[in-house]
Amino acid sequence: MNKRQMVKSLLWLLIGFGATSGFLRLVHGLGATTGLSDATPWGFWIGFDVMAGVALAAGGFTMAAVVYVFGLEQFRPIVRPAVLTAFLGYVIVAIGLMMDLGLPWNIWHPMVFWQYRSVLFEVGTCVTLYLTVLALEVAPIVLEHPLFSHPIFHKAYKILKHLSLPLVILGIMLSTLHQSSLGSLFLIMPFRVHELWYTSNIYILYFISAAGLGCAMVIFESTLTSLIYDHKPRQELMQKLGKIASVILGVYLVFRIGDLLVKGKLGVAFNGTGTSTLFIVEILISTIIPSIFFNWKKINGNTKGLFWTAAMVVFGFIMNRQNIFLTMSKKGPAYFPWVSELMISLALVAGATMVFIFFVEHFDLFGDGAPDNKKEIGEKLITGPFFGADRSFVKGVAIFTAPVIAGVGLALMLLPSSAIKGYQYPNTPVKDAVGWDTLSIDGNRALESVLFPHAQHQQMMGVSRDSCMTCHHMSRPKDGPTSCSECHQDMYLATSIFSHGYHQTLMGGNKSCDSCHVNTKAKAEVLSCNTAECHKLLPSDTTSYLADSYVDAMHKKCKDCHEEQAKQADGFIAMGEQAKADSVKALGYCTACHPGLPPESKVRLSVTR
Amino acid sequence: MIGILTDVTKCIGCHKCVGACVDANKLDKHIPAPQHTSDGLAANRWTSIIKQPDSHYVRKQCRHCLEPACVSACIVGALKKTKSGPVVYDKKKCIGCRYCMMACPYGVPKYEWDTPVPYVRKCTMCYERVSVGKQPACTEACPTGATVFGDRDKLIAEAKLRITKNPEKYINRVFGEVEVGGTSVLYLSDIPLGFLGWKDDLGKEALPKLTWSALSKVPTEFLGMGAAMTGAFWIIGRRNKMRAMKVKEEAEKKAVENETGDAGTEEKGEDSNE
Ligand code: SF4
Ligand code: SF4
Ligand code: SF4
Repeated sequence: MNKRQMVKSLLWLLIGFGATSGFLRLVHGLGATTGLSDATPWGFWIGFDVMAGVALAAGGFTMAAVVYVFGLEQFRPIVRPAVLTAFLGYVIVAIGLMMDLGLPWNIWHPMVFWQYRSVLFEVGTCVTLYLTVLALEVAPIVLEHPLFSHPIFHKAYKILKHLSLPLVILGIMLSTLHQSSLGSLFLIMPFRVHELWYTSNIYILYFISAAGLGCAMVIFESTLTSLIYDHKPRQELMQKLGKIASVILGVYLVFRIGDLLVKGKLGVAFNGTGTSTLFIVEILISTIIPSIFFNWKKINGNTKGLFWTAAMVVFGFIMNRQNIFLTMSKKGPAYFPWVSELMISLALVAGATMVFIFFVEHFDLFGDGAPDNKKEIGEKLITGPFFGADRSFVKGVAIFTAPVIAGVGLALMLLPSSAIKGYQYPNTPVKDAVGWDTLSIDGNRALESVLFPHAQHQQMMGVSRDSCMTCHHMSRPKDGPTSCSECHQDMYLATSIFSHGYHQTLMGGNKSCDSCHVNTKAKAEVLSCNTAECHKLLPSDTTSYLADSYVDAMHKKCKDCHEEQAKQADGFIAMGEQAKADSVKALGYCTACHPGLPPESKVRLSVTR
Repeated sequence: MIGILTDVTKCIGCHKCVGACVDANKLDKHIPAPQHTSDGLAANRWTSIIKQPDSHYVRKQCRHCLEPACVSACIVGALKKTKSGPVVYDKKKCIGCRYCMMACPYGVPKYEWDTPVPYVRKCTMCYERVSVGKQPACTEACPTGATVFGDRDKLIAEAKLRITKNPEKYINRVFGEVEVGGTSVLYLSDIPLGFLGWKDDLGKEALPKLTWSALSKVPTEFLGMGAAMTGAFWIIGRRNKMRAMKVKEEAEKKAVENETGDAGTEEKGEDSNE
């Protein structure tokens, strides 16, 4: 296996993993497959796929501007890869967003229901339009391929070539809007976003940083491709681009710090908290250090130095877009992205890289459609490498199926169980009541116990089988009065307590099926548990038994009886026994069991839970 | 404009409103586990009772802001402020982006995380009930009159009256009268209610204004960028042309190129006018 095959196998592995996670996400929903919750409605997908994806795609419009508008012809060889990266970046954004949307099949709604006052509407519109523009900008690269030699294609190609300048300018306009509007998204959350990141000028910061990051991204990705394909990196060009980037980053730095200064918030950046450290690290690696390195002979003079500086900027701004989420104030549990979220994002990047590689190998990505290149490409096509295998199509499939399968397998191994089985409600296991004559009932040990006078109830109701069964309505086989928590196992959720295996063994294996499953043809049809004369006390419609949540069970059992008692108050009053009347009346109040409630809660609980 | 006034000093924490809401809106009875919702609200609990020290109980529900952040955020207009006051949700439009949840200064909208076809759920001020002249289920169920329904202006007057009658009992403020541009659900209280929202003092400015200040600049930005780019192209293109004239040999070649370039400029000019 050579270098390229290794890279491709790894990418296929990631795609296999991500595709599995993505499939499960669509089948089981967001709660089962992500760490998102009401406390963190937006997570890694928005922070990375959307925010960072768009920022990383900024190379497309910056390079287009540099070459087409500012006429710096020497950069022309990098335009095509940059535009392609931008296109793929936006495809990632679109698919990532589809994963994140709760109802992805409604994604076309914004085109119909216009909401010009929503920033998100602006973002959505710009993404759609810009994606179209980018597709039109990429199309000529594809149309140059000998496959599309039909005159129709040729005509389309010519038209697109003619339109390239207006398209480029339209693309720049749309990018400006929507790089900045991604920042504007946060304007409506002044209370959540940390003050070091929140500013009413956030959209300007997002735009400038996108332009700087765009240049860095171009350096990063062209160096990387030249490494994989053993091209000679275009050292001088990259060096110049680095200098352009450092200017833009400088402007960004001035704006960012200046804004904090004007607001008087700069002190917060140095107050030594974790957040301020995060801010300082972010500023250092995203702007300050790179702008020095891009101008430092020792570093910008060699490919490695440039590459790592560019990588630093890329990482720095991914961090910048993530930090705004990380430092957001929240109410509720902390959020950390699940493997499934990370893997879907990684797989999207892997997929995009794969398409990029495909373009490198099959199209004239680094030239400008010169006719000699065309011939060479044609020859490449005839040998027909499939998405990367340097051999035939079939062999390509054969080689790369293995990593995909490995990816799927890994996914099934590493994903949390809810992602595979479906949403699981959070459990709150119940602990048994403690005590004897007086039981302290506090199922989830929240230190709000109800003191239940067990002995007093026994005395009142007499100790007999029937009276015990008022509360101990079911017992485990061969057990005395079983305690409530044996079946009502969760504080808030119903528990299924039917054990099929137990019944099977007890009744003698397979030959006894028909004692419950009346109609043996339709196995699922089950006789109700009490008509079979086995469990006379169960409700008649019971087939598989669900025990109520602990809270429900307790409330039902106690409340019904207490309310019954409280009704006798009127009778006692009529008999002139005021004291007795008061005491039974008190049974009907919440405070009878929950003494922690204020004395005035003299209200009967009936509907409530 | 209708509204709800909740007097925290009168609430006894009996949860009757919660039960009534669950019944009236046919919500799932599973009790949301506390680790999932710090304020007790959830997709199946549109109102909740938050326990505070010294036997204080505060009912949380959607505030039905006069200028709701959630409505301004929604990308498709699934959330809407009705004329009479309630902020309602149209699940047929929603795309599930959850921007409303991020935007609400009180963290009210909640999501159905447990299903593959999830919707946003929140209190609707019982829009269907109030539009046929009934009052919301929760205010109807309240046994102590701690939470009452009525005309917003009258409720504010009533609240102020209660404060003047018992100045030592209440904090001198009708919560929600001016907060984030005013809300339809108002509170009277003897304890600070900052915990209901994101911050103790959310300010008087309506949040959608913050966004609008940026959004209103969009057309200028868009056309400005177009004009700047076209201008830059024209100037730079011209400069190159002049330089090209000087070079004799390549003069012809370059002239042709620039002509096509000029044609491009015109087309693009039309573009930015659109
Ligand atoms: S409280 Fe939140 S959800 Fe309710 S109207 Fe205001 S912004 Fe919207
Ligand atoms: S989740 Fe639905 S209701 Fe909320 S902003 Fe998005 S589309 Fe609108
Ligand atoms: S107004 Fe209606 S929907 Fe809102 S909390 Fe009360 S009962 Fe529930």
